[in-house]
Amino acid sequence: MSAESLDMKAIREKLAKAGGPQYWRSLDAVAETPEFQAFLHREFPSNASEWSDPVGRRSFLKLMSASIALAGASACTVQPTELIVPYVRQPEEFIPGRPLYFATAMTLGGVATGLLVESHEGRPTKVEGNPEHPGSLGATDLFAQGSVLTLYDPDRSQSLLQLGEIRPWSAFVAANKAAAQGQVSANGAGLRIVTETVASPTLAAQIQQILAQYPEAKWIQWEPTPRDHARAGARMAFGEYVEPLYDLTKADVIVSLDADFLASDGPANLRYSRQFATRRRIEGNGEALNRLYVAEGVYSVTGGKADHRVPLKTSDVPSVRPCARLHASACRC
Amino acid sequence: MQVFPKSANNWSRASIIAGLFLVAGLGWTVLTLQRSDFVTSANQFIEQPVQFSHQHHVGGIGIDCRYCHTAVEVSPSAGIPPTKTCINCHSQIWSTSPYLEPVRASFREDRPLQWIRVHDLPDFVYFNHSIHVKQGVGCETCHGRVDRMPLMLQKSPLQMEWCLDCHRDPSRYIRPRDQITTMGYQPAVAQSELGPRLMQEYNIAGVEHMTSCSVCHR
Repeated sequence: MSAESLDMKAIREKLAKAGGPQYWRSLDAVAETPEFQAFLHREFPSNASEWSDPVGRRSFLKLMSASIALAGASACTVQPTELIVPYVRQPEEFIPGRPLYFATAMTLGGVATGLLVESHEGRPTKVEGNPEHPGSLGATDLFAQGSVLTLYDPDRSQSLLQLGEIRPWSAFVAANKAAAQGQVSANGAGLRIVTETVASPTLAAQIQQILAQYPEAKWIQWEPTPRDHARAGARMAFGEYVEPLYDLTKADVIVSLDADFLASDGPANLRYSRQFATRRRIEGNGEALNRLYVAEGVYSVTGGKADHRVPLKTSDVPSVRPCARLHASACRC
Repeated sequence: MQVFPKSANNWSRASIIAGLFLVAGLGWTVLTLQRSDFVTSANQFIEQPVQFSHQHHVGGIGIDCRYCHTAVEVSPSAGIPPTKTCINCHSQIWSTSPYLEPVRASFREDRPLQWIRVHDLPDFVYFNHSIHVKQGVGCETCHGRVDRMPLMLQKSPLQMEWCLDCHRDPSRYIRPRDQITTMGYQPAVAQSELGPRLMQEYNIAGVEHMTSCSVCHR
């Protein structure tokens, strides 16, 4: 489906003739190229591995039933010899067979969340929230839960590579030094540092040192899902960049305008979830339940928990005038 | 014309009885074989990287089990001692013995010893040393007279039948907690009287819980 094979003229003519709104996902779809038609109706792309062996259904069933019947016989083997490999010098807190828990933190979007990591003989296996950390309160989000898998990612490089060849660390240092030397005369005009949002004062100070050394260099912080709009909004409201922190335990009525504050919106969602939940208990604290109004353009966890949810186009959400103690339907101003 | 001679009647009767015996005999053979040391790998000496003698260290010197197997009271695994534990003493005594060269090499080169597992439970059962020790099951009850073993060997068959034998009525085996590591333990009073008393004292769960599948097959 290369661009060369597309007849742009035919596409323009076709679109000019068509009346009313038209939707397509690619130019190939509009042009209705034979490649696109084939792609649309084939379950697997070409060159995907296929079982084109001429073994028929009968022989397949014969083979599989024999395999299943023989699978039971595999239990009749003597267990293979197992080794026990103790430490040479055992770490002090370690008890064989019991995990150790380490307190750590994970940054996401520049905000660190306190975690506890279960470790078996030095291998981390499970991530849980640190109950003493204000951003976690003992909970974790899916990113923290999934982070343990990145340690065992088979695609993760086991050593230093250059063009697929294993190299020593000294080779990297030498190459880095040569590149840095080359930038001295240009004042770092060819130097760009790309990072995620850096919240560490130490790392930020170190990068600032580099920038002072190479005045022409630039430091770019990038996030796939940044909170720039929330920051800009906070600046409009308060005159400076601030991070609003809500105390949902004190809120009797919560109005959320396209903000998925319980799950995905912002760094404190674990804390907000816990706070929100404490005001939803019927027994115990004697306080009235809170009430949640949500106006949003897509489905979200917060919308799912809402007492009143108003589906709205995202562009219409700013026009909602929240009026507490009124029904959601009356809030469509 | 008669095809079979008259004696065929007797032969057919005899073969029915012989067939029954054959089936029973085959069943007996299979069941006996299944419980044999050949299958359970009990009572078989296994050569280890270091010919460590429990007989000498436990029976001769009288070192408590927990000096080396430190985790037995707090962990599912009793723990195999690190090389450092051997070197504690053997840097002073028998420090030039050729038998201990693998131990010294391990300590020198920071390379762990690789012992061969003697008690190998299947991976689909969960076993926890600490709970057994806490509830009064002595080391000797499962591991036998370790103080008489020049080389470690598996004394019990470690089959489910064997586990259940105790789980159905532990009072026949349990002993006071201060006698856990004693080898050649003899109850001070009759076991039939001591067992039920300890069961009550240690608050040991009833037979319904102890024989529930998920106690071991988690």
